[in-house]
Amino acid sequence: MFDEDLIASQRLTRSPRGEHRFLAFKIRLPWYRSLYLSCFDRIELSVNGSRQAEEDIFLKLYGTTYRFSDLTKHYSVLWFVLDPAELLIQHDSNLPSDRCVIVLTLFFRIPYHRHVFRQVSTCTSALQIEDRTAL
Amino acid sequence: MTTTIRLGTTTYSFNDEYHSYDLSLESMFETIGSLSPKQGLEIIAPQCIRTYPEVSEEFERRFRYAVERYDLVPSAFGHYSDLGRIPGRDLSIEEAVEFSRIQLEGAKRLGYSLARMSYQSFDLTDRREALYRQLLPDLERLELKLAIEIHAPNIIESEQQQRVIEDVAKLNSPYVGFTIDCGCMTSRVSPVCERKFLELGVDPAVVKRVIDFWATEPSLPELRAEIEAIDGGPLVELLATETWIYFGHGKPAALRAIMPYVFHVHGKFFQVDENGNDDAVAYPEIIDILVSSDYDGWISSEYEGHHWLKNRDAYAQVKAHQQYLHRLIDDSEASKSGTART
Repeated sequence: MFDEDLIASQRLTRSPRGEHRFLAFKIRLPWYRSLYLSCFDRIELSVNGSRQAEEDIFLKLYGTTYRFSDLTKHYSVLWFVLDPAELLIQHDSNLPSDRCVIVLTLFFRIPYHRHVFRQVSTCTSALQIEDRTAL
Repeated sequence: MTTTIRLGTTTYSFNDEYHSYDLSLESMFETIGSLSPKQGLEIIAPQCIRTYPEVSEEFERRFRYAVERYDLVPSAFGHYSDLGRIPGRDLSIEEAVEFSRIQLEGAKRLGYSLARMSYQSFDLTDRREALYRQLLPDLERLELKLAIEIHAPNIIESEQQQRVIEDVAKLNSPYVGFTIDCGCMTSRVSPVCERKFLELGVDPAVVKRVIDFWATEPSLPELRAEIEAIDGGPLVELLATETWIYFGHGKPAALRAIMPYVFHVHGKFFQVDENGNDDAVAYPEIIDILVSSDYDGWISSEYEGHHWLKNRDAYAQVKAHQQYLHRLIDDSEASKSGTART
């Protein structure tokens, strides 16, 4: 519904955390109403054409960081429709330039359609990379 | 000429403006209030209320302030059952009742006397388990009407919808009825849908084939077979699916039989054309039935052209839609009283 707003950042930050490096950018809920985190059950994300493993993707909302593949357990956490969340990707490889192309596809269930209808939202964006010392 | 039909709109009409931060919650209410005095205000609860399903005291304060300041009338509270909130299973009856009860109590605090219910229970074998029956004591306690939405692709005439209609008729409660979404009674696919797919580069001949196939009123398996036969890729599949989901084949004549249970009307529309007419929904017939049945309630204009068009023109569209409805209502009233309009 709001695919063009899915990626809500112009920039992508790159920060170290422990032994790893993380990329981070803001995303919006691409639907007209708020949804529970349990509705988000699949994500596909590529960085410069390289597909990222789902277990390396995290969602940060209201100060809490969730592994994306665990979101379905959080059926009481409401993502309010106007609030951006942050997507974090564990990404240790070097990127060749200060810009990278993100292709993001989010799959989610519509809770009032029980288990029948699903939504898919896709957005592509070229983001400027900004290095930071910590997340 | 007097009519018992009142006009309003829903915050759903302003999805684009709200999601893009062009309108805040309050400025959306202000915009709705500027449509006319005593404009009906329907809210989508999980769109507007941060503490959904609860209505916080802060929201109640802001809402009441806006209603007073912008001369609004609470028309319908957009309730959701969200039965599929937990992956892999439906909410239990107890969970569903509690989830709804919280919303209904909130709706009452906001000054609503009617809640639209988004709920599908077609496959229930024991209708005593239906959520609307389970909620009846709360509805009576709160003196709140619950209006179960009939929405495309479901139509009044479908067998599964008829089972629910029969049960609501049997229940015969002043607190349980229906919201009829006019999108389940369309006479064509809106050109705004067609145009979007042409702009996306779909072959015009394929678009025509899909639209023509929609007119044959296919079942879902027939639609799937046609999608496979066309083999046109994901955009063609999306076009075919959207024609099936958004543009219902129900006939307005079926509305007459359920009018005693119609508590609320969603004036779904996709685009008002340059002549001031709706481009897809069978409004002349629908309004005739509402007027001749002495419908006493709201029509909430529900703009959905924004699904395909991103021109953020909801205010002008809703305004034009309400002018169109006024014209149809006047004509029907004149016809009813035997004084043809000149």
